[in-house]
Amino acid sequence: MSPSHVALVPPGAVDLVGDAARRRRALQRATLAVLEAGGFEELIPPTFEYEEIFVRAGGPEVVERLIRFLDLDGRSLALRYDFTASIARVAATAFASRTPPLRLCYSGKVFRQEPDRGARPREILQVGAELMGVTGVASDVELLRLTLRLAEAVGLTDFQVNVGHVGALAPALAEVAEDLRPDVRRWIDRKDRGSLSRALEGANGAVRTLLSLPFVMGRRAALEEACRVAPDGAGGALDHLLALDAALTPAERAHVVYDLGEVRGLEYYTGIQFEVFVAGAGRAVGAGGRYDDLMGRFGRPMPAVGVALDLDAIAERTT
Amino acid sequence: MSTLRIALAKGRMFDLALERFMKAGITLAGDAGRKLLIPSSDPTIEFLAVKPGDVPIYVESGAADLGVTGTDVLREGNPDVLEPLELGFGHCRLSVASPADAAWPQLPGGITPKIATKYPRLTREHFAAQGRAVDVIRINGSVEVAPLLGLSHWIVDLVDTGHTLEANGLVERDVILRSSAVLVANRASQKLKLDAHLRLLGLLEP
Repeated sequence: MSPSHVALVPPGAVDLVGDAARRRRALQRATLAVLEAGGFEELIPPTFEYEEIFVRAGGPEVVERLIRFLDLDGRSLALRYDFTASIARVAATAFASRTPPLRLCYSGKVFRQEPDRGARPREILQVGAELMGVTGVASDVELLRLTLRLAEAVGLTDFQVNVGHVGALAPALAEVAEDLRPDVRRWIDRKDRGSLSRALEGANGAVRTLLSLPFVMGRRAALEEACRVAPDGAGGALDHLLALDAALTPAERAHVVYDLGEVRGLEYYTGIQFEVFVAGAGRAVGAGGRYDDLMGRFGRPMPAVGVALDLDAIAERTT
Repeated sequence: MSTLRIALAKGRMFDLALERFMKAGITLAGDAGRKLLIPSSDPTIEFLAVKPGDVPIYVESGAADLGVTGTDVLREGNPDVLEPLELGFGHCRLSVASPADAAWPQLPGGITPKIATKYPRLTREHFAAQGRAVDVIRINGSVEVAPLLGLSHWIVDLVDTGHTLEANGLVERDVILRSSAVLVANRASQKLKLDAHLRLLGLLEP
């Protein structure tokens, strides 16, 4: 057998050696130390689970992104798509008698099919945390603050956390005609203001705010501006973000940008949602938010908010 | 002000895109000949010339902040990029065409039509939506001669004036998609360099 025969690895699989390996272990150590100091207990869930667990947590759209295989008894297994599903399962079963709040964290690989995606890996080294059983601004602030500490712990200095709230656009979207709604969401997602304007030209009331609200991005002043243009139903979400902003220190605020244009998590998130961006990485290096419906799907309804950072993207960023 | 790198498709769209940027006051400040990175008259903007089909991956990955590509390329590849502005040039349509003397919309004898195209995904989706079975053959060029050479029964290809179809004895049967040039942007770049993106949009907007 020639060496070239054993050199072949599946697309999206990579060996990490030397500094690439050392850097990742250093990032894991630094972040787990921050998490432990914050009172978060580490869990090491299995690398594979019944497929159903990931779909239960993430919704039907994760199915095509699972790396699946069959167990001996014919049941469908999947490699760990995310840690949140396994942690929700543990919180609802093994930890059922624990009194909330639960502070749980993890670090390890997740595995994802990336159909048609040339430049995307199929396994990602993550670190993350889940705060379960508490709701309100204080718990969102705790999680956001933890995210900022994690970002600093991995050596990011010039980073930006874009924070939104699913309640900002939901009331206006609900009033868009049902057959037009998928298109409107797509245009908002793509920041395609031209198509939005044409489709909503004659619209008034709440729907009209979709021409401006999704494009709001900035510091506190942008939020205040959003409050002036937003429909009544969005007031709660914007007040929540204003309260969150007020609770941050000036140093923390320097990293936070409010961004009301994110519609991708509308089915999953129930409150704040955020992404972490840093120069030299072409996509978000971290993401999180509140998903108060998640634990109910595992039979133990309680609020939850969480974050996950992509340590590979952080280790490989170009600047 | 942050620097923006804009990926442009070499070929037909390149000059049209430059013309559009020229109207916005941004011109090339170097020879486009062999260089990959071309500075512009605006110190915060540089251009990158790549193969037309590669614009989306450069932008999605963040290697370029923005790019100019066609709706056809975007819908075929479905890259995860922002599409903040239609640029109003490069209008054409993605159409199904078949030989003028061939039966349409069915082939005789229950034969499953073979379709040659550079757009396998859009072609499959189009016929699946109509509940029609087709056999899609992906090729990389000279699509319009595929029926003449016996490679396929029909083709799916971009049509501008229709002259190329006519010259090859083909008739446009059905339009799948109307396409034009679109400015696309990397998601992370748009968030990190918002002011620069907004400034460029302001310059380009009609």
